[in-house]
Parts: sequence; C-alpha cells; structure tokens
Amino acid sequence: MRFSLLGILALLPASAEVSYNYDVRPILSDKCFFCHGPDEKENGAGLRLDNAASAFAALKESDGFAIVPGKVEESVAWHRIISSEPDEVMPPPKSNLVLTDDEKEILRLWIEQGAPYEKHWAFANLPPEVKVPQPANQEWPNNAIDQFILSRLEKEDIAPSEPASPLRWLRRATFDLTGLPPSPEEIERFATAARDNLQTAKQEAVERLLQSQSYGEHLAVGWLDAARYADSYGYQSDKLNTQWPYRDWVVEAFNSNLPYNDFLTWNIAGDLLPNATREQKLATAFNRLHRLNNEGGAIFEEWRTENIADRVHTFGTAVLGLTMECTRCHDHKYDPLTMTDYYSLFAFFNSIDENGMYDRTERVPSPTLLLPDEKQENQLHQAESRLAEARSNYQNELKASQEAFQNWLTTLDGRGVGLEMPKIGLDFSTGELNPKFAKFAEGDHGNAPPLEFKPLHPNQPEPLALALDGDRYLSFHDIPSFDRWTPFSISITLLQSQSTQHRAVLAHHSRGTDAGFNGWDLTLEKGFLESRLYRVWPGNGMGVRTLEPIPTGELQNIVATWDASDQASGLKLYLNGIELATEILRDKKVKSASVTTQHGGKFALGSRWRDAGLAGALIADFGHFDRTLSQAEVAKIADYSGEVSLKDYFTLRVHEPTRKAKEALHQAVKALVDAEEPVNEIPVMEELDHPLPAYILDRGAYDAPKTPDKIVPRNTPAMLMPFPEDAPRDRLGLAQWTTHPDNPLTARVFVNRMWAAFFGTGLIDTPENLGLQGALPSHPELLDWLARNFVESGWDIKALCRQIVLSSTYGQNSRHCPELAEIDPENRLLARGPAHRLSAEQIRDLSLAASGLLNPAAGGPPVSPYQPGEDLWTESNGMSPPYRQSVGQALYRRSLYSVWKRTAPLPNMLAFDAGSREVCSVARSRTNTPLQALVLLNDVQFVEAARHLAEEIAHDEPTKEIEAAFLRLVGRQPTAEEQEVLLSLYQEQLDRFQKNPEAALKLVSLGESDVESDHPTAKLAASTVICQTILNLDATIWKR
Amino acid sequence: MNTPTIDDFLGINRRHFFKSSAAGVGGIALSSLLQNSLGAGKEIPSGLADLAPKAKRVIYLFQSGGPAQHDLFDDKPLLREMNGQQLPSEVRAGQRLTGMSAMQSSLPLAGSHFSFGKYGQSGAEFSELLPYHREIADDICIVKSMYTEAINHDPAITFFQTGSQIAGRPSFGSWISYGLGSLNENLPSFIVLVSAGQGGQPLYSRLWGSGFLDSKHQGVQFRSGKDPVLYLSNPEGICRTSRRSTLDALNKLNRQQFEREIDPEIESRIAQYEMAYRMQTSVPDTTDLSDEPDSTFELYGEDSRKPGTFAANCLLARRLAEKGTRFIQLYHQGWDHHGGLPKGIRNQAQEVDQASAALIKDLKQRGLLEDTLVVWGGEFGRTAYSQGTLTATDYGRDHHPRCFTMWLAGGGVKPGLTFGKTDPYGYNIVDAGGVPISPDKHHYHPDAVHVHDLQATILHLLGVDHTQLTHKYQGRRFRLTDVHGKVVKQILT
Repeated sequence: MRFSLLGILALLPASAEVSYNYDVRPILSDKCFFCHGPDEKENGAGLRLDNAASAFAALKESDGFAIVPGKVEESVAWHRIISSEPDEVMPPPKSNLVLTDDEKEILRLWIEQGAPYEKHWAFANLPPEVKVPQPANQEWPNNAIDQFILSRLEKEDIAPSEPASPLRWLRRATFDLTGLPPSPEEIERFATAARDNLQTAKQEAVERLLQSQSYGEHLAVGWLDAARYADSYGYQSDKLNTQWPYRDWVVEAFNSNLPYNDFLTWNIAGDLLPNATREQKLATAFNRLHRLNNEGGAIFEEWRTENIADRVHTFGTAVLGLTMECTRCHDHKYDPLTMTDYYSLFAFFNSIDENGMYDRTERVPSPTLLLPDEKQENQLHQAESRLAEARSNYQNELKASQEAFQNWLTTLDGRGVGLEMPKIGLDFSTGELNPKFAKFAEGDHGNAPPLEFKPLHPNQPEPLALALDGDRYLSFHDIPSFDRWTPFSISITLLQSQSTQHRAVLAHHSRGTDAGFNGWDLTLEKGFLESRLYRVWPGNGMGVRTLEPIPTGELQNIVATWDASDQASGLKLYLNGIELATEILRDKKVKSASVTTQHGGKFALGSRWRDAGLAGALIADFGHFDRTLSQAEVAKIADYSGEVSLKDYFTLRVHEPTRKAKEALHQAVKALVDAEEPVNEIPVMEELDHPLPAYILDRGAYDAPKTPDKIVPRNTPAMLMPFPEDAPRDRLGLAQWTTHPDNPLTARVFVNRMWAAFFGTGLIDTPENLGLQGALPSHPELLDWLARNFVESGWDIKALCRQIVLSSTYGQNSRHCPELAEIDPENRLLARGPAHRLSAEQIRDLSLAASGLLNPAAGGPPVSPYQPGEDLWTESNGMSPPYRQSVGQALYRRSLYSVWKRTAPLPNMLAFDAGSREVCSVARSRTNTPLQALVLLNDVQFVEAARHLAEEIAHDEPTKEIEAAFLRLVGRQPTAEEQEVLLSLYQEQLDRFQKNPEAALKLVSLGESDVESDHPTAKLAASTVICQTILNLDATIWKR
Repeated sequence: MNTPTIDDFLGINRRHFFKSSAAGVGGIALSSLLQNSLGAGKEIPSGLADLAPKAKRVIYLFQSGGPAQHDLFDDKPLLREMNGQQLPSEVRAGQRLTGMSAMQSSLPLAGSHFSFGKYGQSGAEFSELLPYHREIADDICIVKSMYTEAINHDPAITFFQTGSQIAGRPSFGSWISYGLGSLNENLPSFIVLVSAGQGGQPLYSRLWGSGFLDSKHQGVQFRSGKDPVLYLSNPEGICRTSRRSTLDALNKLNRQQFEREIDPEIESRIAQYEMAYRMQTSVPDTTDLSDEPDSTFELYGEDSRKPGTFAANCLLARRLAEKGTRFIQLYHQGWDHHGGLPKGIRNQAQEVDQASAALIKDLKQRGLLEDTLVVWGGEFGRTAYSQGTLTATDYGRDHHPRCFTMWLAGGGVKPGLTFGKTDPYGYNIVDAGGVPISPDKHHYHPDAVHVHDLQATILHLLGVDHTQLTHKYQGRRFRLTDVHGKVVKQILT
C-alpha cells in the first residue's frame, strides 16, 4: 500500500498492509527520530525507534516495552502517542510536531501487523536485476521506461496524454540535450523527415544533438552547480580564480561520453591513477573548487578544516545524495550516520599540501597543476632541457676545476684569501643607523618610534646593538627581491637570551599579508633556524631547517646563503663560520617566488607586518651580499679560525670557467621561471606521501582537542556497503567503492538527477537527500531499473539520455487537463509530458542563438557579458577586482562561459534562479517574478538580441517577419490569432516610431553590436519590439 | 482572477501555486496563508501568528566592520589609567586572537581618546563622537553584552545576517518576508540600502539572499544611481505608453497560450508582468525625496540631500517604513579600525550619528516608532588593546567577538535602558555581580546576549516564535536561530 506518495490518504481499510519503508518510516523519521533516532547522545529515555532491537527492548527509564510486535495495547509507545496529557503525549508539545489521525492509524496498523522493520530503500545495495512490468496496453510503450510509467498509470486508471506535436518534441529535445533552440533549418529538416517516419526522424535528431558541441556545454551546467564551480574564490575580497580549465574538461568529458564511473573516478582520484594523464589530474580540481578565504587575521587551520568539510559535504550531496554536513557536529538525527563516519570520510580528503587560505589570484593555492598550451609546453621543455644542460655543465666544470684548484693553492703561498665588501654592511655598535641603507618600520607600526639601541653586554655601555621588540623592524631601501635565480647571502650577528616558542621572523625579503607571504624568510622556532624561498608555503617552495637549535646566551653569527641552483639543498645555513646540518622541508617550485602585492617588498630585519618578530634579540651587525658566499668567506665574517676548505672559494670567486657555468645556471633557472610564469595554473589534488591523521572534532570545531583516541582511519559510512577489501585506503579506493556496480547510492543519485533534467522533477523530488528524511521515489522500480541499466550499459550517459528522450513518456503532450490537475497536480505520475520554465542560461542562450548573435566558440577563460549599474563587483566591495565588460564577440558567448563571481553573481542570471555557486547545489528553483519581466524587457542583452533578430528577419512584409521570428524563438509558426495580435502591435509601434524617429534610433542603437541592416530605422525599431514581445512569451521561455 | 499582491513580488513557484490552488488563479498572498494556519503544506507550523506582535517592521542599521565599543558606548576609565600596559593574561584567559594581532609581541591596553558623558534621564553613556545620540538617550535600549562566535568579517557578518557562518542560508529579511509577507502590494517586503562609495569591508549578495527559501523572499537592493532597482527603466526609445501596448499584446498572446495549455503558471506570469509595470512607477515615487520639506533634511543633516549617503538611506528607510516595507536593511561600511582609529572613527561616527538619531526622532514624531523596531550595530566589537604600536596620538583595535555594544529602539523594546555589563577592560561580559562570564550558545547566561538571542528577540517582537519559524530543507527543519537563541525578556516593554 503506497498511499503517501501523492499525499492522498485514502481511507484505510482495516486489512490494509502497511509498508515500513513507504508508510511508516516517513512518519517515524519526521516526527520521532529527532529524539529517538540514530543520534545516541541526545536520545530521549535512551530509546531508539529506528531499529527493531532497541524499539522492542525493555524500556530503560520506565516499565514495559515501547513496541510489542502485534500487540498494540501492550505497546507503551502507542499509549504515549494517543495520550491527551501534555506531559505524556508523544511527540511532546514543545517539539512543535503533531501526529495526524491518519499517521496514528498507520502506526497502529504497523504495530498490529508485527512492526516489521526494513532497511531504508536507498541504503540497500542496488538490486542485480529489476523486473520490467508488462502494462496491458502494449502499443504505447516505446521502451522500458514507458512500461514502468504506463503500468503505474494503469493502476491509477489514468490514460497517458496524446503525443506532443513533432515540432514541440523537437524543441523540447533540442533544449534538453543542447540548451539551445532548434534552428529554422533543423526544424525544416526534421519536419520533412518526420513526414516519412517520425520515429526514425526522432532517432536521427537525437543522434545529431548528442554529437553536437552544445550537448556537453548544456550538460555541464548541472554538474558545475553540484561541483560549486565558479570563477572567484568567494569570501571577502572574492578575487578571481583560475579554475576555468576544469569547466572545459567537464564539457569535454560529457561530449566524449566519458563513462560516469570514470568521470567520478577522475574527479575524486584522477591524480592517484597509475601514470595519471594531465586530464585525469585536472579533473581532481573538483575537490579544490570550494571557496577560499584571504581575509586578514584568518586562522589557517580553521579554514583548512572548512575546506575539507566542504569536500565531504559536496561529495556527500553531489555523489551520494547524503546530508553528511549533519554529522560534522553530532551523529545524524535521521540517517544511521555517525560522527565517526563523517571524519572517516574527511580522512580521505585531508592529505594534500595546502595551508587552507589563498592570498591573491596570481598565487594559486597549492598543490597545483600547470596547464601550458602547445607553445608554452614547447617553451617549458626547452627551458627544462636548458636548465638540465646548465646544471650538468656546471657539475662538469666543478669536477674539471680540481686540477686548477690544486695549482691555485700552490700560488697562495701562505697568504689568506680576501673578503669582498658586502653590498650593505651595518655595524650597530655605535648606536647609529645609516639612513642611506635602511629606515625603521612601515605598515601597522608606521607611526611607531624607532627601535632602540641597547648595550650588547650588561654593565658595559658599549658596544651597542639594535634591540628587537618583535613588532617593529628595520626596512632596507635598495636590496632587490630574492628569487629562484638570484644568489644572495645574509649575515646577522645576534644575541638571544632565550629561544622563542613560536616561529619568529629574524629577516625576510617577502611580500603579502598574514593570509600568505611570498619570497624569502629566515625564521627561528624554538631555536631551530629555517631558510625558505617560496611562492606559496608549504606547497610551492624550498625550505631547510637546522637539525640543532641555535644556542642562546652568547653572541652568534648566522649566515644564510642561496646559490640559485633552484634546489633546496642550495639554501645553506652557517653558525659562527661552520655550515649547519639541515633537513629539507620542501623542494617543489613553480613560477617566481616574488609576486608583487600591496604589502611588503622590502628586505627587513627583525619582524614582518602582521607577523611575529624576534622579540628580545640584540643585533650587533648585519651584512647583505648579492652573491653566494663561500665557506672561507663565511668563516672570515665569523672570525672562525679553524680549518676551512678553499675549494668553493676558488670555484665561486677565482676560477673563471666555473663562475661562468654558474652564471649560466642562474640564467637557465631564470629562463625556466620566465617560461612558467604565463602558464595557467590550477589547484588540484595531489596526495602527500604520508596521510595526515584525521580526528573526530568535537562540535566540528577546528580547535577541538586532537588526542590520539580521536583519530579515525579512512573509511566509508558503516551503514552502506563495505569498503572493497582489495582497494587502497585512499581516494582511489574511495572512487572504487563509489563506482562499485552495487553501490546503493551513486547510480540512483545520478539517474535521478538526469531524470529531473528532462522532466523538471526527479523520480525522487529531493535530489539533495536520499536519506530517511528525503522524499520517496514516485516510481521506485523504475529508478532502480534505470540505475541498474545505467551501470550495465557501462555508465553510458548518452545512452541514458537517448532512452529518456525517445520514450513515449517524454514524448507526450504537456497540456494540462483539469481532471489530472486534481489527482496529480505536480505530474508525478507523468500522464503528460514535461513542461517548465527554461533555466537562466537557456533563456539567454536562446535569445543569442535565435537572434544570430551567438558566438559558438568553446572553452577558455570566462567572459564578462553586459552587467547593469556602474560596477556591481566593486560597488560594495572595495577589495574586489573591477568588472571589465568583454568587448566584441566575447559578449555573445554561451552563458556557461560567463564569469561566475560568487559574492556578486550576474543579476540577470540570478533573476532566473541561477545560484551563487558558493556551495554544492543539485537543484535550482524555478520562480516566476516581476524581476524576470524587467530583465527580459529592459536588459540591454535582450533588447540588443531582439534588435539583431529584427535585422536578421527584416522583410518588406511584416507578417513574414513575425513568422520568421516566431519560428526562431518558439520553434513553430504563429497561429492566425497570434499573427493578428503581433501585426496590430507592429502597426502601432511603426506608427509611433515614424512619428518619433529619435526614439527609434535610440532603441536600435542599444548594445555594442552595430546595426548592419539598411532597413528603415522606424521599421527596424517596430520589428525590434515585435521580437521582444515574442521573446517574452510563455511559449518562448518555457519548454512545453 | 484575484488581484495579485506584493507577495507575488518576487514570484511564486509552481508547488506553492498548486498547493494553494484554492486561492484561485494568479497567486496567493502569504497573509492569507497566515490566516489559514500558514499551511499550504509548507513548513510554517501553526501558532506562528499567535504571539501579539509589538513591531510590524524592522529597520536594521548595520554598521559593517565592527564599531569600537570602547570609543562609542562603553567607557573604560581603567584603560586610560593603564594605557600602554599589557593586557593581563587572566583577562584574556587564552581566548583566541586574529592572525593580525596574535603575532604581536605585546598587547598594550589602549585607553579611548574620547571623552564620555551620561545623557538623558536614563543616563545613557555616549562618547563625544555621538553628540546627536544624546537626544535619543531615553528612546533607545543599549545592549553592552552582545557576543558572537566568528572572528573574521565574512563569517561574522554572514552569521549575523543569516544565523550561520556557512553560506547558503536565508537572510534575516528573507525569513521575515517568508514568515510575515508584506504590507504593501507595490513594493518588495525586504529592501536593502547600502551607503554608496564607503569602501571598507565588503558586502555580499548572500547577506540578503534567500538561501533555500523561494527567491521571492530575497532582499531587493534599492540604489542611488539611475535605476533604483536594476533593470527598472525601459530601454531608451521605449516610453511608458509604448511599453503598455507591448504588455497588452504580450498579455493577449499569453492568454491565448493559457487557453491552449491550461497551465495556471501562465496566468501567474501575466500578473508578474503587470506587477513589474506598476513597480516602474511605485519604486521611483518612493525613492524620490524631492517632496520632503527642508525641515526633514535639516533633521537628517545636509548629507541626506546626497543620494546614497547613510543619511539619505535613513530618510528613505523612513519612507519605506511608512509604505509598509517589512524589513529595511541598511549597511554602512568602514568601521574596521585596525589602525589610525582616533582619526578614522571620528569621520565614521560623523557619517552616521545625526541620521541615526534623526531616524528615531522622525519615526517617533510620526507615531511610527511604536511599531517599528530599529536595530543599530556591527558584526563584532574591537579589542581593548592596541593593534599595532600604541603611541600618544594613535592606536588601532583588532576584532573582538567576546563583547560589544548594539542598540535597539521602538517596537516593544524598553526605551532608556542600558542592558548588560562588561569588565573594567571592556574585554569580557560580566554578570550582575561584576564577575566575568564565558557564555556560549550551548551555555546560556541571562546577562549575555548571543547573536541568536538577538535574532530570537527581534522575531519575538514581530510576533514570531523563533523556534517555530522553520523551513524544511534537505530533510531538516532549519530556522534562523539554528537550535539556539533565547528571547531577551529583560529588554522588552
């Protein structure tokens, strides 16, 4: 008995058999599980009603049993349900929930019938086989879909509608498969073919549509909503991102009919596939499309946690139709999902080299993938070979220099080596600062008094030293920025009384804010010295760290050198003349390490803006060299008197061939950076060598205690099919589980969404939730059959589309009929064909295509169509980049390619219910508002399209114009009535414009495209109004 | 066909339509839904309208960026005495700081450079920066014990305006529009006014978005430029009579279509086109301030003659309130004084002081204050210590979620009351006995006002039980106050 589907609660016959899944659970879930459900922490009276074991067990806090199967009178739950006492009755009044009499009756019947429990339909594995029913009418069905639909209709004694007219079907199918209207030529060709054989004509049309570039462009939109794809980062300053290659990959994946299981595998784990291709890696951007913050003061770990959470939520909703977000802070209130399940999934997505934030567009958050075009790829290859060659030349020269070195040693004759003067050398012993080189502090400390000089040794007035306070710093004027190809050395002599506990900046040459610096820095943390040169830390840079802490309490000379070898090992650290053993922290780099930003850009000593400096340290002297110092020179600076090899002094300073080879190496690094710089870079997934632990976070808070007992291993939700035994415990294994042929959710979720794309509503009308609180399917067997068939077909998306579009169900007329409106107002039984308003993209694309303005170019960076107002991006956001409207043909691209700014989406798209793409969304609403009327009538985009259409169809006879415009926009000829209304409007407008040529000229001049027609202006203006009127018709903006 | 009302303003979707088909073709008013137990199968449980509303509408003067309470409302002489000394660690008690000042080696206390006084019979406290506020001292209720969760602007303002730091939830005004509908059939029920050209912390369309509610509930931004609402004006070359004849033809054609398809959505669309046409006059009529007498501009200040200023928006808010707009949301950016506070806040306060006070006076003299609730405040407070170096002439203050000040007026709020106290540093909320407390949304304390408490209180004043204004989405009943929020009874009349 399934009477709940259509909300028709028939009178229950006493003998009716109730179904747990379809009748009982929806009631229990909605009204009882909040307190008596899977979230054990908050269970009322320790009672769970979501499983038999608990429901049938003796009550913990009172006598008796909640449910005694078959015995209503003995079931305490029943008495509580029918109680009239406010303290007794369930659900309690404060829950604001009430059971209706019908609901109570269902529960009574269910208990009476033995209270059988069943697994929630969507959590049971996809059945291996689904039987196709045989309706009485064998003529009507065209394929299995129709057999399911018709069988159900026959049960309800409803007849399907007559077929839609061939042209109506063509328009419907063309929009559903390509997002565009059929062209007059296509209509003509189809009409001719249909006269011969309608079914063949339909098949041919479907094949043509499935093969068009537009197919992928249209299908991509739904997936991009789910994947929360956008062209900006989304928080606060909302800068533009570089993600558009992912959008193009999705289009291409649909067009090449990449099987859905592969599609998902690439999205989830493309990087982990053996010998992953560039496309497979690119696809993993899916997990990096979430928003990112760059707000000053934001805490990295908080936002890293948010990002990973967003990956879990998106995977849950887009792929599994589960509301995982509910389990971030507590066990699920309705579904058998726990916090352990949540963080076990979290564990798959947390192990990439990211810091949780971004700084600005150019500094793409790591890990990233470079996407060079063909020319750039060649340049990169050349630069890489040149670098390899330069490196090997240098090594060869070093080896070859051995003999020369020995000879040179003999010429030294006991004399020492000389130390060239540093570029800048500052001795603070006199307490003076040479303003030629440096000045005190900028930024937040701009008005601060200068740092003080204090005696280096207590009890001795001299020498003096610069006393660091951790906040203020000394800023140098003329030290050029440090980069991968620029050798340098820094010497600092300092005295620290104790080590800092946190990372403290001793010196840096970097830019940016606390949301992310880039450049070089020298920091101390608990005494350990780090030298780092990076663009985005930690994923894109080089860094080393000493194995031993720097001693405190005595004056120490620290020297950091960089040999511009472009390898982390070339970052060397010395203490008092002796090279320190270091470990390599990171050694991965792409592009320049010195990106111009608003803040920083000067070499500074002592601290950094909005960062922690080395409070309490005394600096005795400082030196900067624009070259790599040799061991001997470092020793000399430090007054080190032990034995020192002169070999590198010789090769760096004396021996011309090695010096030249090293210089060539620098140039080769520079050339590589130059080749990398213009290449588009996109954030992708790239697994760390060792997974990071995932902790159950109390209340979902990033700063909840992370103790060993909170660690959870990678796993999929326990209530669903088990993780495959032989699968790796990483995202690739997760993909294998997800695309397992028996996975209960993956195929059901996808075919349901595809169904909704054609019929307006899915077989389940809550595509975002297949859990217990989700809607029940209108045709459960059909859903399962479609899902199983889809898996069997090799997850063939085009085949699924074909099946739907060629079914008799889809081909029905969509006209309403009053009797049906009573029984099935929402057309869930599908006794008529689909009808709904076109999407935002379809409406704009339709007007462009019909008017002949559409620029069909595919792919590439986003374009910026017309936007009203001054600049909606910067209007309320001074930190946003400005909106720069595209010029020329770029104004007329398909809406898929329009720039998607998360905090300020295009208003004419928003008006038609396009989302902001801030978070995953699998369904858009379809509202009907006055703003839509204003957009379609007044937006220059649509006015210009109408005028361009008027030019295209210009004809001496207005009736011909009306016919042509109608055909292009509505996909059919106007009726005589329609013709009459439009013709009289035309005459009236023509008259008006002839009397007021200025108005006509103004109207036709709107938009960036030139008027090319030599049609009289008044006529063109009148036709423009006609085209606008047709463009605004229900018959145009609705698919019927 | 019923005459469509403003509830159709931002549309009606098919499901609503069918489920309410008893109301006839052409849309259904939410007000009638209210009478019919808010039913139509949607998720507003009965009982919602049972509370007697004190306020019919809200004007929310959002001060974006986080105004420094120590320099405006909450005088702390101790900070002047201890100027330059370190914030005692027991006062901070390990509370997190933003990444902007967490790295500072010292957290020097910064005494306000501004003098304070007590005004009105109530003795409300204002600094010299708010001279006009003195005149409304006995009309407003100052809450000094506000606190929030977020420490960065984007999540904090999103939390205030949508009840969640996570994007995608309906905004405050959308909930009101959803729950109560509109009082004027020619204007939207939720209107947003942003001060022009302020710079400062960004605003986002999500702050007035409708989230998972129907998009008809989203806020409509009125602008100071050529088009008060985007796309409102006819294209050049199309006059109003020309548009009329186009609409007549369009309606005829759509009616023909209706006869063929029998889809009530078509009739609804016809109604929306008519509504759009009416808005083309009703909106400019409202935003055109030229019919205001000089005395109005004197009251609101000279700035109110400049379209797009906070003052002009306050005046416009009054006009919208008169016309029955439910929720009027103003935003004024620029309170984010990390550095250079003494100079910055002086200009900032000047921009809003007179007009904020004028709005209260104006509403009062028109008898509108009784049933109009005015709310003034930002997304969080600022620190007692200086961000950046403290000097004799300068200091800055970082974000501070643990305590801050807001004020409310009218619509059922006790006038002339100052509610809530903070410790002598203005760092923590204290209880009635002066003992610092650490409330959070899981641990309610009657002396502290969480953002959800404020939201619950505003809803209560509108006659709505915040626990009952829900919408089911993804299988869960969502509400503005999540599972938290207590009405602050102490500030109610």
